[in-house]
Amino acid sequence: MKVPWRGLSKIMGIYLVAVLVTIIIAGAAGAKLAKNYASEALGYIKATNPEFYNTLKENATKMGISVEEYYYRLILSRVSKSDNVLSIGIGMLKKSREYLHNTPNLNIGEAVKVTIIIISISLILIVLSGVYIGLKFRGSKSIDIISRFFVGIPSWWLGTIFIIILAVKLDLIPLGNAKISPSYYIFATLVLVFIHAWEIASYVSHESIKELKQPYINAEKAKGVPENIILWRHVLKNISIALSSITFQKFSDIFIDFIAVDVLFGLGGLGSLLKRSFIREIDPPYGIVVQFNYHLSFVVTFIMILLFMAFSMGIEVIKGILDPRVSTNER
Amino acid sequence: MKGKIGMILILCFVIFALLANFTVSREDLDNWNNANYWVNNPKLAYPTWLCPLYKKTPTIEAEVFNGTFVYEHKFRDRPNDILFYIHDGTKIVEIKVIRPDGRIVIFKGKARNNIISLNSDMREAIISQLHIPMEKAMLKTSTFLLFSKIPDLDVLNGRYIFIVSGAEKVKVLGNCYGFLGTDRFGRDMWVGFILGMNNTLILTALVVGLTLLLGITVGIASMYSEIINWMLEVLTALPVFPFLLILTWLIATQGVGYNVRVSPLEFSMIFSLLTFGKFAKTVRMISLKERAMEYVRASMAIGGGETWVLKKHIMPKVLEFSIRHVTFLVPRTIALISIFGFFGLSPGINWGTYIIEAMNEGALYGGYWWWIIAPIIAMGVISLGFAMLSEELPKS
Repeated sequence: MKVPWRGLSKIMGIYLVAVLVTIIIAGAAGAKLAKNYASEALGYIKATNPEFYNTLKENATKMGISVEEYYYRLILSRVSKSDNVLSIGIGMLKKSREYLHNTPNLNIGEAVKVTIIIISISLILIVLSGVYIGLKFRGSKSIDIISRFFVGIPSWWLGTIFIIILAVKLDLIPLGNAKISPSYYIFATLVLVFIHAWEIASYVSHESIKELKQPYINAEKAKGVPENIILWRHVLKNISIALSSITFQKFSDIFIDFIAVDVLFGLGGLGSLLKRSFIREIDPPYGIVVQFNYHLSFVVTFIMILLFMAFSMGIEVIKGILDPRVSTNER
Repeated sequence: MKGKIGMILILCFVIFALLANFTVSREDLDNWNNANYWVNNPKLAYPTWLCPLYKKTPTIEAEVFNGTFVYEHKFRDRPNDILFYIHDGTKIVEIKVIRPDGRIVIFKGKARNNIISLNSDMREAIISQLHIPMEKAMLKTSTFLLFSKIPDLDVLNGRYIFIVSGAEKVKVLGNCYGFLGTDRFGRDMWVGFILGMNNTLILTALVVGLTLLLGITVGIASMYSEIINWMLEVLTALPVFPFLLILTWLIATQGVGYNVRVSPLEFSMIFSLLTFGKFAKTVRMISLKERAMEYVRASMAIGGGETWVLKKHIMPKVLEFSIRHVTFLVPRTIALISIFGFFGLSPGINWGTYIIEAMNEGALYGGYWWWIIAPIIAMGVISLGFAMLSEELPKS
């Protein structure tokens, strides 16, 4: 087996640009946050500390800018020397790293662990069950319809039905406990498998039919090789290269659905952390109020990019093992 | 056959969506997030169609004839509240209640905002005139106490006679309300469901339209430019979810007070920008494959230009695929928008925001499953409809 360096370096390049985009967005978000903070804080300073407000106003007048703009620049100077979004982004993300170290109850390691374990187990089960169903019901139109049906079904949909039936009606899952029941992890995994296995099954179901019509399969059949061996040793091996690409495409869908399931079952994964970074409440006098935790949000985003990158590279290596052409092209 | 069933399901949903909007008022929809607007509704009420099953008190409105209103109570629970609508709020109003056990409660006082509420205004009169010990009355509403036996506070069924001076209308707030009940603010959940449906469908239409436009344009352009192709690779590598959250927060503006507002068009543009990558890559693949066909190369060899090839060979294939892709894109976008709604930062409310708000108030664990059953059925019907319809369309 050869390491597919070209493919891996391409992925590295793509994710480096993704990181750059993240830094720019972090900078823009940081600038907006500083602007909001400056305008809110100035109102407070004006009311409680007029002397300080006057000093700020004098300095702003000397520079020929408004007091809001002066205070905004003052706040930004703590994170960045210049006011371009890239520099602000880097400065803010450094602060996010400090936030990560200084916030004791964040437990980000546990969140990453929960996320990786559930997504990995789900992914393995999705591929295995998808391949099994696909090979069992070759060319089935019903598998196609079920697969298309679950495309439009979010994970919370199935999760909610699971909770209503298993927890509320049948009392099989404990409710209202402070500690998460292990059954929650199992149900979350089942939800992901149930939603995503059908697409793999549909692909395998169609491709296996095409592959079974190949002349070499007829030759194997003529030799008396049992059908199961033909299916698992030849058909599956040949469709596995394209299957690995589909699995990669499914990864981002599974990740999105995991986020919702994580929030629904309260598993404490990256979805729960992301939810914590945006708190939305109905405040009767105002309407909808959203509190945004900048640092937590970007910490989670960066971890997600790293996970996506690790998974892409893993898939590229697997493709190298499965497809001899990849190794040949590297030479 | 399957395609026809799919088409019927989608048509049924479209008709339902149109008709459902006639069942709610514009004012109700506009005030969904204004908790004060719903203050006169019963809180945590059951849907009216479930009431006979659970023997819950229904909500009724009645005219007061000759200053008398007779109410027959025959349920397992008590009303939530009783509201008397007074036509002249400046005058002192007298309300005399004769209970089935013969006990009488008399209240005299002025109406606030032309309404006298049993819970807010008559508490003192009920507790003192029915001689209910304070320790028993403490955590109960005055309506609960009025409809209870003394001293064990079991429910007292029978005929209640209200003799009211100056009232024109009376409303018994039961524990049943509307088609989907109410939440703890008294909000009519049916209104929330309709509002969520409208927003979800509008956003889906915008996102699907923009995704098709971007996907076809950029997908074909990427066939000619490696830089655009590279950008597509980067786009598909980005984790959609946190980016969508942060970018939406960036475009969000604060309205009156802290109220957060997000423009549906801007949101749809960001949503499409982050999600059109996969579709554009498929369009690119189809275009490249078509361009490599012998008949296309032959047409180029005899003088057909790039525009000709695009118009006559590539576009028909891409459009054929795009039409089929819509049957995938619509339900998927609805699902994604609803997941995004879980995090609350979206224009208005959609089915996701509706579900998460319902869940925060204990829809699942508190047993109010009817709050969430409507979006579940609606999404199931849409997804099944499109899944079956896609079978009818020609395969690309």
